[in-house]
Amino acid sequence: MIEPLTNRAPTRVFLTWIGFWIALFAIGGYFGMLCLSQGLHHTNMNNRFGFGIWIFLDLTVIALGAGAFFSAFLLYILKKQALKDVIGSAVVLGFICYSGAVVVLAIDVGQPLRAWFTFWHPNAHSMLAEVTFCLTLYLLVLAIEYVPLILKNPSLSKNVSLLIFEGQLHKVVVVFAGVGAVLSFFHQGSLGGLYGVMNGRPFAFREHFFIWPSTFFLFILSAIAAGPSFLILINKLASKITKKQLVRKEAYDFLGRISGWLLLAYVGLKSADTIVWINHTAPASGYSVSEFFKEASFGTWILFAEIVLFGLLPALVLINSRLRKRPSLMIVAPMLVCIGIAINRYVMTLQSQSLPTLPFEEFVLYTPSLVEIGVFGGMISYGVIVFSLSYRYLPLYPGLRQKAKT
Amino acid sequence: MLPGMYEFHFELGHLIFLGGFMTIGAVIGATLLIALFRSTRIVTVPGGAKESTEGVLHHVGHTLLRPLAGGTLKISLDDLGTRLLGRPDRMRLPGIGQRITEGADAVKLWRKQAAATIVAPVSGTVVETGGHDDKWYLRVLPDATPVEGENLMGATKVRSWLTSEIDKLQAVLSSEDLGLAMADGGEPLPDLPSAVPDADWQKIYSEMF
Amino acid sequence: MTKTTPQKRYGMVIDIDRCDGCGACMVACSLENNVSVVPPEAGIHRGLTWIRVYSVTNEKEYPHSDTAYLPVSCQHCGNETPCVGVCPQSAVDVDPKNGIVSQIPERCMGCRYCMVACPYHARYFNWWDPVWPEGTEHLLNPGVTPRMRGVVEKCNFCHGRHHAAQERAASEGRSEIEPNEYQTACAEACPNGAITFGDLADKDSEVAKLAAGPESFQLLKTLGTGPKVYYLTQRGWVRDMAAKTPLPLDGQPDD
Repeated sequence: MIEPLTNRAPTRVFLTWIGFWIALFAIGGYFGMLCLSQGLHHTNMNNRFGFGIWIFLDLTVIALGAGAFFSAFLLYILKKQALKDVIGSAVVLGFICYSGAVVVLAIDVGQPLRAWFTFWHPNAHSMLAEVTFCLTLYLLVLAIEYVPLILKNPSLSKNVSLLIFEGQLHKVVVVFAGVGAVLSFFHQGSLGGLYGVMNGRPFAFREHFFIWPSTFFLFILSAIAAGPSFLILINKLASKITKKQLVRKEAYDFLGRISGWLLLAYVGLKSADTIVWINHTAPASGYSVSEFFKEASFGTWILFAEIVLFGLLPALVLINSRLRKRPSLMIVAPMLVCIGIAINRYVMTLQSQSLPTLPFEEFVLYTPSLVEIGVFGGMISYGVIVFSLSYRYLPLYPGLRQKAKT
Repeated sequence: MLPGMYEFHFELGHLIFLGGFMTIGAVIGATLLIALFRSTRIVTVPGGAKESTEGVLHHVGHTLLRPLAGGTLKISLDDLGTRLLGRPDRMRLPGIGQRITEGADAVKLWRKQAAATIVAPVSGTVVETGGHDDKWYLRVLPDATPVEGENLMGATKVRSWLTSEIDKLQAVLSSEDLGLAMADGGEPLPDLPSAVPDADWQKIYSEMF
Repeated sequence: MTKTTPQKRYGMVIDIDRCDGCGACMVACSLENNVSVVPPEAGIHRGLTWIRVYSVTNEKEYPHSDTAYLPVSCQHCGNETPCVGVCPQSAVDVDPKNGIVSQIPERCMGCRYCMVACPYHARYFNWWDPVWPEGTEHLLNPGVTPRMRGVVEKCNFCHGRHHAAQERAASEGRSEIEPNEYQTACAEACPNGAITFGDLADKDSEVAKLAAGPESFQLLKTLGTGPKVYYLTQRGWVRDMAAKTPLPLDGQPDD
């Protein structure tokens, strides 16, 4: 029997908490099986909306999960020791985001059993092939990084050979941090490239640098800007729920500063990209940008919200060391960052499909079906379950364990 | 990927793309295999970064016990012990999986002609060994938790004990009439055997460890 | 690798002024290519049809009102074909020998990236298991494989007919097929003769002459996808509406 760590919630409290999420997960699982066994007509996607809420949310959680590779890179390769407090939770979060996304993708594609075809006869020109390769390999890396954490469970660590293996894994973790950084870099980028390469979709198409469209770089930058913010949010949320200080203030401060500066750089480049797009890229393909924003549901307000309200504003807060000291702002600003990234992914995924390219086609809106929302709810609850179990049974927070001892 | 697919031709792009990913896959696999292989034999590689002093226990045999995540302990020499040995010429660490018993000999270190025997500060199983020169360490899964014992002390007791140990060292050194005395409460030199080569180090080691 | 220059460039010219929107092309296409029947709740955006006839009006009051019908299928883009580069598993193919853009449903995992990338909305996904109402399964064309649920399909210029023509030619010891041996079902079915199909690379062919004529235009030419389906019209408003013209580069619409 695997025992929880010493200073965790009583079993009854934990079971109530986890029971709720398991129920939600079961509903999502049922809806997922419905799609797998009967077809994707249970969703509200259609021939105009090949990508729906699942792709949008996958892109968002993967961007937010970037905290995993970025913190591992900063801690193990650039030796930023302040991140020691959050690395455990970052790895678990990354694992949850990526594995959850893969499972939802498996439901999203029409023939998931053929997913291995990509490895058998890949199209080297396809951004999606690059995504598939990077995602698979990086999920493997995340799983390997997760293993030492699992082996640190006191019950498991009674087994000597497992412990020895854990120690050896820890010694090579720098290799995985490096490989993970490379994979994630290309993976976040190719997710952005997904849209920027679509020469038939003027709303999404962007100027290219060498073989990569600008969205390739913007997605990387926005992901590594949002990842630390998401880490702050989740760790603060976990602190609130468990009523324990899990992470030292210095770690939050460091994450906030990194997030702020990267976001500021992102906002700058995104603005430049938007200006080029408005004045050159879109007109060159025969479209004026004003056409893209003439429908109220996707008016220019969404562009303003994405870049200024949820971009520039939180960036300015996070780069200011005085403002970072305010606990309330350290929740609001990272939240704005995460919403801003979600808006970006939403716009790239859904607005680009709502807009018709044929002049006699209509503008189409799409609302997800209950099944789609249910499956996504299942993925969220999967994340909560894995994180809760990890918190209960594994020493995610090194600071917390030492506190309990003294 | 394989020839024979309909309308499939190898291009430079394919080679770069597949080559890149296969290299990364190979690196992941090889690293994992190395970790697995190392787990089956004794290895000595450089130790990790600086640790905090929170929760550290001192043993009277001049070893330190640092608790690690998952209930294991890292055993290494304390400051005075390190200074006494300087850079050992040779060392014998217990093998991975080997049991050590509190108070019994665990590690043997040689410096010049003298040998120091370090006793185990705790009973348990060795799960990892590492380090080289003066940086060696053992990672041990203790038989019982919490770790306690009359020969172990926390930060509060260490100071007075350490003073008495330095007194003891000074007494041993001065009894040899080497015309050398340490300043009161002063820091011993980092590598005592080099500074005082003529002392009877075998005697000092048996006295101190 | 060395790409052989296409010996043929199959394409199509559709005369909008001759099309009365009867939909015979859609029916003929479905029967020829074993396009399955979707349930009524599918609606307009979940149906399966490889060619779709759009109805467009000039939005004027009678007697000036006018309606045009535009049959839109896969445009078989000849330049930077948007769907080919995006497919992760090489399930979309441009045949270098004849320029036909074909979907390989057996290789498709149904990620629908190609549908998102296609500017002509000409790709269709199997949201349901394919069914044929009782009795109609006897009408299935044995020369074309039906598609399964969860894969993308689209117009491939009746590749069943193309294969049959090639086989016939091969059995007679010829390496090339004659122009009159290969015709798409839609072109054959159109009662008004609005659709002309043939080899655009053959300058003497009717399709090449029509495509080169002053009345012809391509859909979304400004995207630079080089569609091999051309449209003809003498009505100015149809052309203004359907053919996007390049914008001046200051980003202002030119209307």
